[in-house]
Amino acid sequence: MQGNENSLKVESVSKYYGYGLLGLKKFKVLDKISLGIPLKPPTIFAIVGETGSGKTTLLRIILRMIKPDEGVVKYKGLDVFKLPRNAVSWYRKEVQPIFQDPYESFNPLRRVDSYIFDAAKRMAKVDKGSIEEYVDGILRYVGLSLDRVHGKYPHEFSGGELQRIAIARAIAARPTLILADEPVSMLDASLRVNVLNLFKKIRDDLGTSIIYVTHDLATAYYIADQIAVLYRGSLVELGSIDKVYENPRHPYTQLLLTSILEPDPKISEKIKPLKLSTIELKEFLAQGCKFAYRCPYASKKCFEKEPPNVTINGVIVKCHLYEKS
Amino acid sequence: MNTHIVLSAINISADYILDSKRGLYLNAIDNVSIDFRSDEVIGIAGESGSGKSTLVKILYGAAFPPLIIRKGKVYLFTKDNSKIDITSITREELRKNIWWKHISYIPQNAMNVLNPVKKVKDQFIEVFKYHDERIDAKETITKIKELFMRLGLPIEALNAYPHQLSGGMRQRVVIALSLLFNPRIVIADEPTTAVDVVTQLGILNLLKDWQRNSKTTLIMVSHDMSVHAYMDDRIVVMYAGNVVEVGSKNDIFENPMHPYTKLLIASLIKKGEKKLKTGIAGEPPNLLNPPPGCRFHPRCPFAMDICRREAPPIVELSDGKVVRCWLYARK
Repeated sequence: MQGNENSLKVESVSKYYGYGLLGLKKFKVLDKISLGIPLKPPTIFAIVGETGSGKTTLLRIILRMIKPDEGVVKYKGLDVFKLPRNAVSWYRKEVQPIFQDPYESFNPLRRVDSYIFDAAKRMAKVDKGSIEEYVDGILRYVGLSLDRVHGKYPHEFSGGELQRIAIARAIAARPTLILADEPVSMLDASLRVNVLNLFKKIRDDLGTSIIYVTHDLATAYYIADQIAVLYRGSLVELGSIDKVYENPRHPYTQLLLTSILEPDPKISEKIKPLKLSTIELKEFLAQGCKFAYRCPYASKKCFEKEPPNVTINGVIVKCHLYEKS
Repeated sequence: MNTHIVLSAINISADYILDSKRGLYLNAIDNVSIDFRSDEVIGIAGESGSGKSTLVKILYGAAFPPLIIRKGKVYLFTKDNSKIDITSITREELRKNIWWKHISYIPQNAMNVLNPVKKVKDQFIEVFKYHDERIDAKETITKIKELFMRLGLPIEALNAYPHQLSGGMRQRVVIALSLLFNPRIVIADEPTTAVDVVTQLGILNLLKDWQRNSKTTLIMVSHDMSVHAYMDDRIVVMYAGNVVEVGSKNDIFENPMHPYTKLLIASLIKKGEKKLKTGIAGEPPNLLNPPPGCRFHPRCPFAMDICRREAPPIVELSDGKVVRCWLYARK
């Protein structure tokens, strides 16, 4: 780590949402999350978790769309929520999002090429004379061209093309960090690999770091360098992807790794059935470890006390099992 | 093996009407023939827009405009060996005698099909009424309780409103509803798309256990090849409204014949793989104006002259393998 200068730091961020009749009762969607994403060298950072684990909320906080109730987000040493006025637009240029559903992220009444021209003009400050060349270059980089995109509306493209246009729009702003929220889950299997390969290319050629949010561990392993596993709003395991993958320590990560289905015809002999969860809100409100209700190793302590963060071999695990006594 | 054909689709072609005045039709299914046997899990695989859901609608007898069947028949073989043509009987007959008793259907995003203002219990009672089953309330409840036990649902869920249950539980309630009258064929259309991996595995296990115990036919529709790898005995691969290949699970994954299946299998990312993979170049065709000849030829690395001119023949190989490609055509 070379200090704060070249990283995005999330420091013990918590967020509460209300529930109940008037939303007066609160539960924690994110529970003191701390992680750092290096911008140099460029890294692909995977955030993995199931539905309702707080992945998207964390992403929205980093994007400055919602304010955390506790904690700070620091980008290159600056607090993102206390930026001076002129720095807000700088931050908006530096950090670019790509969303899950490409059909919903474009205005259906607006020509898609205008998004890329806008990003080039306003954010990357490309001058008028060379803008067409610049946009064409970026579209070619993602496997399209200005001729094919010019003057067309979102419904004239397929999902895979539109997602590549969304990526082109993001990189047209010359960002240092891209946040991709489930970018391939809406795409067909045969096109998915192409988009994932494009992310690898962006990291290597353009030197852009990428936060890849997904529920799919197989694709996370395919492209990512580091991984954070979320469960019901708390970060249960954090570290380099090879270490976590080969030797998952937290019981939840182990469960997640054993329940992925693979495109392998012999898989049905390898996987053992498990019990289904019936409690969700109860888990968010749990005093101790949030996974305790489903954990095969749970002891009395797990229900009562919040587990500590233990560092083993460069991987942070939030579990009582690894506590030094 | 002691299995017999329970459902048979013969040469089906179907279109969606877009604008009948201008003669705009979208050819969603093109000349599809499949036999479904008893005691098997058969998967229908394909990308979005390949016609999986449309095919299943036709098999279920729910082909209503704008979907029209141009050609072909779907035969259902009942227990007493009579043959019913599903495409030609009325909806009233389907409702009374066929649906849920012979064939039932677990719809796509099953978690959102329950009536939000009715308790789960009342939804079950409504189903009994809809199918003209006259049994009293007590008997109904015992029957449902039995089913809930089998699916691992808590009995309290009966008195809950749908929003009080989690997504995975709602999905199981819908599965319970569809298995209520012990159907011999169950069609599951993307049963696990909106749930997480852990719940997905649980639901797939429920379906599989049920199929193995009752020796019925389960038709799994999914775009996810790993679901097929886990569930199926046989796989039907669809591309742009055509069935391009039919074969056993091991054949499809380990020895695919059709170029599309080959490329698709090669592009799948397995757990623990980092090696660079290549996807299939190009995009699926627009079915308003499908390419002439084989519909895969613009993306196919083996495309020959004949592929651009004529639609490929359906070639039957040994072991019930079927492939629709010029590469395997014999003169």
